[in-house]
Amino acid sequence: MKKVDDEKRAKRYHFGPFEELDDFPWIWEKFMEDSVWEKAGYPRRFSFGGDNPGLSKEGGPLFDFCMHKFNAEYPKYNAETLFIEFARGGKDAYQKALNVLSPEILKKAAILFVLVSYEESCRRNEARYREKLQHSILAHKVPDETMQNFYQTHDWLTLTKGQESGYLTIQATKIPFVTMKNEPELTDSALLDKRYHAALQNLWELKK
Amino acid sequence: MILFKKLILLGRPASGKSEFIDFMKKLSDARRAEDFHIGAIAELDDFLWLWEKFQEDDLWEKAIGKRWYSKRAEHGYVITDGSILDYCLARFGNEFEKRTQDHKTTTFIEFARGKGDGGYQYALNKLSEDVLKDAAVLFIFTSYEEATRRNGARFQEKLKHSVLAHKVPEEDMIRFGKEIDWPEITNNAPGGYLKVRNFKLPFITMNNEPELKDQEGLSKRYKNALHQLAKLYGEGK
Repeated sequence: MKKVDDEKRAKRYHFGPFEELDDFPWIWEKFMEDSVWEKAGYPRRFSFGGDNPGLSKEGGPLFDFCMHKFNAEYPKYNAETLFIEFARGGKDAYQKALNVLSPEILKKAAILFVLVSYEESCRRNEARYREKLQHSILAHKVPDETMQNFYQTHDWLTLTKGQESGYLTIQATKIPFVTMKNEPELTDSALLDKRYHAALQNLWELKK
Repeated sequence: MILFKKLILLGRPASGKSEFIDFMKKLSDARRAEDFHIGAIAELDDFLWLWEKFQEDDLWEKAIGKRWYSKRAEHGYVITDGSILDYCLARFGNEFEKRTQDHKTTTFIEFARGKGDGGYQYALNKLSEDVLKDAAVLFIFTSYEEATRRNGARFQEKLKHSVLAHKVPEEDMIRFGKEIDWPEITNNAPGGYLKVRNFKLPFITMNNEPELKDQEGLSKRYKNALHQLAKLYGEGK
């Protein structure tokens, strides 16, 4: 989306000039803080360290913290389109997370769920890491332990009753959603355009 | 011309550390270097990290019903877990590592510590080698009573401009400022050297009373203290 010009992005995908709220940098910041705690002589709180730090089992509550941080950060943004990006796992993953979001966020929201299987997600995580390693020794991937602990299962398909699109009711707000199947992996721009356009056009119709 | 590479600014809350920095920021580079031995300013102040943690505690409270390091207090927050102060001391080193150092910059490293948290002796010993190397210490001294008075006065002044004004709550004023070990560790000397691990840190204790508002008076006070400190700094190398 960043590479598409404003006019095409608006017409094909219904996105205005956009800003991003992604919880990964906040989680990463906690990994870095954990290293400071370690230097100060205390145990790490949320993560295991090393060359490729990741969320430890004790770090789970950080997900709840981040949902509240979305609410706190949201009023600071004023873009035409705001991407709010997160991944959650477990049996009530998205049900729980979406219910924390503030009514201000929910009432203007639409949900695009980018679906790949766990196996495909692991494969891409590894492939992306290998690719990054060719350019930097500071490459990072979601560690296997974190993938297994937190992302092996999720409740999206249950929550949406297996429908490819429709509405979810979260805190009495009806929110349109589309589940975009993102397999097989595409690298060709024209094919990606087709996939994204189809999903977002559908979402736009539901939002209208 | 001697320029401090790192200036560790210590003193009770509301003793005048921020006013000192504000004063320096308003000067031209040339005058600041010539009269005060201070280059381009970089700042590391643990209050900002503490404040960040206090605000995060507001989110943690909503998320898991528990705060980690603080409780809410009159017009602000109060620390409930002293480990966060050790975190801040380690973070000075961490932040310092990230920055590119040059010969024209003076980094201010600003904090306050009370005796109950180990005092300045403990805190200085926890700073990393990167922070301690080529550092000088300026202790901005006011009595506890005067610091408390200024804390209250500053708050009243801020209230005129914003209902969101906050002040250091009394509990933290006591924690950080009522009893301090600075006179002990310096043997009440107005200036000299402090031994911190393998480092010999030049220091000056600048009496910041009575409160001065006029720039000329402040300039004279700061200039005098920093000239003495620069002398110690140069001689100690």
